Amino acid sequence: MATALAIQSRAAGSYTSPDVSISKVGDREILVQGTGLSAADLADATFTLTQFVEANDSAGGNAGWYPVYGPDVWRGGSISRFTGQPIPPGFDFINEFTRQNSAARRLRLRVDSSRTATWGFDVTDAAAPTP
Amino acid sequence: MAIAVDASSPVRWSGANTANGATFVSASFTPPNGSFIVIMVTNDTTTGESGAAYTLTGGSLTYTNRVERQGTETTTGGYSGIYTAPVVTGSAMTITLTRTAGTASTGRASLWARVLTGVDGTTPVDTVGASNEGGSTSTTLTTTSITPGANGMLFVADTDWNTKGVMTSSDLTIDTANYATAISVAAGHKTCTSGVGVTGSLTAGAAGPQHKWCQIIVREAAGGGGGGGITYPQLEGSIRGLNRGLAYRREESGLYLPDRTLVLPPPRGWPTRRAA
Repeated sequence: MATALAIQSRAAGSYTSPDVSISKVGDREILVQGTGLSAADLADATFTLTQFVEANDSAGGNAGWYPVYGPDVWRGGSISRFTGQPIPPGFDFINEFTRQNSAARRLRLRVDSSRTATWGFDVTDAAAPTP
Repeated sequence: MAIAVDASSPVRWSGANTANGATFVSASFTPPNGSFIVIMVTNDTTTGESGAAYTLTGGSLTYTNRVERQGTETTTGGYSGIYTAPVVTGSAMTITLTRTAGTASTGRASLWARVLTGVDGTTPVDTVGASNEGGSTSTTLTTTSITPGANGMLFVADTDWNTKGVMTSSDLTIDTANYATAISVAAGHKTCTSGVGVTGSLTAGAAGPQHKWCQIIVREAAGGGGGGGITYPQLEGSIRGLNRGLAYRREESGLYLPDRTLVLPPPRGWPTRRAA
């Protein structure tokens, strides 16, 4: 499973990735990774990208979308103590999916941008790790 | 009613933990009347940071910090804490974590909340002590055993300050996330039995983690496992009609029984026997 928002200049607003079919959401590791941001945008503490991961129980994706993660509010200028550099947007997660474990069939990413900037996102999944 | 996670529980939320004043707001959710919310807070910190402070608000609820493991405690770095809030009347709400002190810009704050039903309204959380928190550099962390005072649910929050990737668990139902070059976090729960020691296990995504964990036990309402036992609200109605000459005490089980050692005399002037 993979979906993306291509790297391109976007105005302030809300953007949704194409939704993709998944066999099962629960116990999957979902990886969300921001790409293409300039050094200036990565360092700008006034710039935010708010990310939501949403799922849908309908094979056609027409029933209601519900959140499985979020919001994650990335803000420029958050400095990694490992690298000393700004941390790019993105996260990996596995969630409990109490409701969604067996039903979810579609997945998508929604990103709200606070101002015009160039950016993209990749969303992929991996098999569930074994404890 | 047995203790249970309600479907209204919000999903994990997070954000860049940049500076004093930063806020982290959940999606809106609507807990049911009489429910109980457990919030597990996990944060990045700088090395040994203890200056950062946080508050929780939202829904006009009263939030109580039950336990926390600070950045200055062993193992150094990272924070985990567990808060609770009882809900009297449920309505649409959000939960906001606000950073109120601290100067360092660090990676992330990440929160996970569970809305519970069937929680003991009198003593919702077991006593918290030294065994309710700790640090570890083992790949697989096993929390210190604690013995529940009642049937209930164990909650564990953990921050891996070395960011070794999403965690797994052999026994907890968990929600876990990884924030590259910042922290890896997990929170989870499982049911537990009165008087039987309980632990939680979390395995880091790779060797070399630095766990900072804490845990609490949320107690089930009396009669919760019995399939329809008497609950406090039901008793309130009937207790008003009980014999005024007897005192009643609340047992550990939650039941109200006549206290024969505290029989009260009738008020002065009252007949002691019905007139023939």
